[in-house]
Amino acid sequence: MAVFLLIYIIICIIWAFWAGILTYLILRYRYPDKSGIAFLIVFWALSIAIFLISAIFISRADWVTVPSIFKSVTMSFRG
Amino acid sequence: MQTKYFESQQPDEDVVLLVRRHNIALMPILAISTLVYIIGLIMAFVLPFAIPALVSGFVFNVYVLIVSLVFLFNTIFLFNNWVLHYLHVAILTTEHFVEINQVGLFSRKVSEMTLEKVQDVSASQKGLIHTMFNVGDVEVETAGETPNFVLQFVADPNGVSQKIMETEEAFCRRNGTRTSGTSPNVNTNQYNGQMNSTMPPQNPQYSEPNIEYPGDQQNTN
Repeated sequence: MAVFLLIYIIICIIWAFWAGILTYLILRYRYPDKSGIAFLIVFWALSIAIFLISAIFISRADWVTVPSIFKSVTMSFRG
Repeated sequence: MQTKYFESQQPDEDVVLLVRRHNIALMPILAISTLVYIIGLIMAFVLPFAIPALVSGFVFNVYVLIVSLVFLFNTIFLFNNWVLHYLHVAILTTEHFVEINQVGLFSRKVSEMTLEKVQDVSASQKGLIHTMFNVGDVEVETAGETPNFVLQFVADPNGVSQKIMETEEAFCRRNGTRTSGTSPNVNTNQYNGQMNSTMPPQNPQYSEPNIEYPGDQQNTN
């Protein structure tokens, strides 16, 4: 598992570099309309949410219960 | 303090028009990205129930990493394309016509010419998409060996080309130069061929910056 986490961290560093360059471009060359900053905020909010959700899933010792919750929800829809 | 849109903008140079490609140009990227998001959601919420083997300790952890990477890279792919779209602009000022193209993350191209080099401006709309969304291409033909400027997928191309010609006419009146041909969209009665370099601006709308965003105009209609 440690190897996979290491690969994951390396990929995340590449991702962060990419995101950093894009953020720099928006902040450096933004024009008076506010859509650049708005999209930047949405992007980072979405990315942080994805990071947090994946971290919660991986770090949970009883992670099996999480899919079970979704399973019970879907079963309740079926009646 | 005046906002500088590009490096060589003079302090007394006002921006008349800022043009971007219409958002409809992003639709193919948006479609691909949406498809990948749907695949990611299926991987996250459907496959674990369909394939119980995925929901076991080690495999599940790896699976979560893969799914999160799908979401992360799809998000940054979408944002990357949007940034390139956002930073590709054409700026018309009272003195210059400038096209700034962010080709890639580390590649940026700035093309600039004075308005006296503008010879002709043409707008074209081809096909169903162009007609439905009132988008098209605007070509600015230039004098000499300067390559032509072609703006693709511009909202309201006829309005943009007319604005360029009007600004060029005003520039020529101010500076007493004229290299372009006659413009069908400009009232040539005000231009009598007598040039005077000390002539003040005759069109008051260029004395104050009035930036327009054609895409926004279209959305409000």
